[in-house]
Amino acid sequence: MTQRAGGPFIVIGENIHATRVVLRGGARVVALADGRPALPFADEAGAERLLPVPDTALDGPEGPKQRVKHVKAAVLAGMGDDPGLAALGRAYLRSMARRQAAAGAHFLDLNVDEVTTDVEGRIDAMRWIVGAVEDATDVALALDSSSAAVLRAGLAAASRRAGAPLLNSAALDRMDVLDLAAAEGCDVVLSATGAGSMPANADERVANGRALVDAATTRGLGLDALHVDALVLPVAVDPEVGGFFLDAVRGLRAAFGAGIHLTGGLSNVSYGLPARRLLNDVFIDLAAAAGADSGIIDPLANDLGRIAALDREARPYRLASDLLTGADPYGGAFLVAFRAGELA
Amino acid sequence: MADLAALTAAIEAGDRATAVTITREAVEEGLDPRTVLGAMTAAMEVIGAKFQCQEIYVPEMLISARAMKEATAVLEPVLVKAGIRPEHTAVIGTIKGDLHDIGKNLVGMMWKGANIEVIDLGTNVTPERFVEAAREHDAHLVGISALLTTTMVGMRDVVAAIHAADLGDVKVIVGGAPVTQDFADMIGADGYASDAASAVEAARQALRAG
Repeated sequence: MTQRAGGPFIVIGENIHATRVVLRGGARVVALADGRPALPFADEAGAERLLPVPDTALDGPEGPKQRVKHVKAAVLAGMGDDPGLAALGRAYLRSMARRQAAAGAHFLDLNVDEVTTDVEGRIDAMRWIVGAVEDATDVALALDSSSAAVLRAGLAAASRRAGAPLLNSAALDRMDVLDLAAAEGCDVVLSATGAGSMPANADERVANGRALVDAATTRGLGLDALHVDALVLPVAVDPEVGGFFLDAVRGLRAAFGAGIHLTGGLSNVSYGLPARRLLNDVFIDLAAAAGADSGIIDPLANDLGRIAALDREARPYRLASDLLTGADPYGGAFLVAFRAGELA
Repeated sequence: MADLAALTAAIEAGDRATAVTITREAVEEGLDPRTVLGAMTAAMEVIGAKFQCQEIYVPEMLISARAMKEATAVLEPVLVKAGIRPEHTAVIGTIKGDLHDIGKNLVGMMWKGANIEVIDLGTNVTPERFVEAAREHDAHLVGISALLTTTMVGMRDVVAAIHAADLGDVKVIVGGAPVTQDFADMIGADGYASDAASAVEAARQALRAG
């Protein structure tokens, strides 16, 4: 590792996603007079507001560890019949959009797949959220769904005031999203997940990426419209997957040169581990050094300025890097250091 | 004398070599294999509880499960000879259209740790395949995992197919990132697990419910 990322790093802000949770006993949740949970936030005028959480956005037994699906809560409130709650839900999501934009996001990813289980409901939710947040910032949207119909609905609702939305994502079993991107002039994320199985190593990630790039260029999409996602999986479960991703990024950069964007859901890497901010910071740095110029990340938690200033010789960096690249499989050394308070 | 408390401690610590050595001693000394197995499942109970209150993390749960797996392999011939089989059998898989296997694998490991025999059908499993495997292995439990909202809805078909098939009393447990208790109730599943550790408790509850 000798260099930081050369050019600007494209931040696809991942926070507006219906699965996101905060803990009921944590700092992001307060109790209303009747004991029900609510989410504090600052509205457009800077006033402190409280969004009450509906029961359908709570997961797990009641208590401080109960999970509050805060984005889902805001979408349900925003689309509901109560005009007061609807305004609060909308304002909550606009606040999230502004905070990510202020933290440097280049795209705001919107994923409402988990608001409801039926496709019609998801289509409605995507249409609604595009309208609710698009004019809150000057940042372009990234429409995120595993269903092309949901992406199409979001696209139809978008005014494109900050440019055409990025479509997240096409894959070998979702090629219709490439047709949509070509027809609508959108940039598109190409997910290297396979058609019948997950890629088992770096080579299969590169092969899946190549097949998708070929299919995209055949449809007239330029390399600079493509963000190849080489598939980040948790190192907690398989110590080799961090290295597979980084090697695939190197391989794809070598194959396609500077013209293509290389991205990934970089925060997936730290699932199931403590000190996730440190791990994600270091993995973003490693990915950029390997040739990634884009990342689906939380710009509030992982500040690029701080990452650029990381001391790569410091012990926390080295411990994190060893875990992320398979040199400390299953994090024996990392977890000992974490418990000893040496990663702070 | 094989030290079974040390066997429990070794599995908790994920120390494979020690776990295997003590198990071998216990086998040579002719200890009741059920007692030895009990020392191992006790360790996995502690691991599950610690994981749930975030005292330990996913890699630590994995290495404990791996230590148990290797120690169990030493014990296996004695168990077979004595005709001792796990009380319950589960078939487990990721729903049709979904290739994610991380959550499913963790649940499978925790179920094995609780001495449930686990038949892993892999990913992208059709409702027919779940039914066929449950029948073939005379399963008491079916575990279905989904990571995508688009595939999650297919769980309803599996629950319906299992309950409609003439299989005796088979309980279906569902889980995965997008799955909630509400959804599990809505599709008529017998249990819901929000993570790998709670999957053991969900299985026990469903089995108790008879």
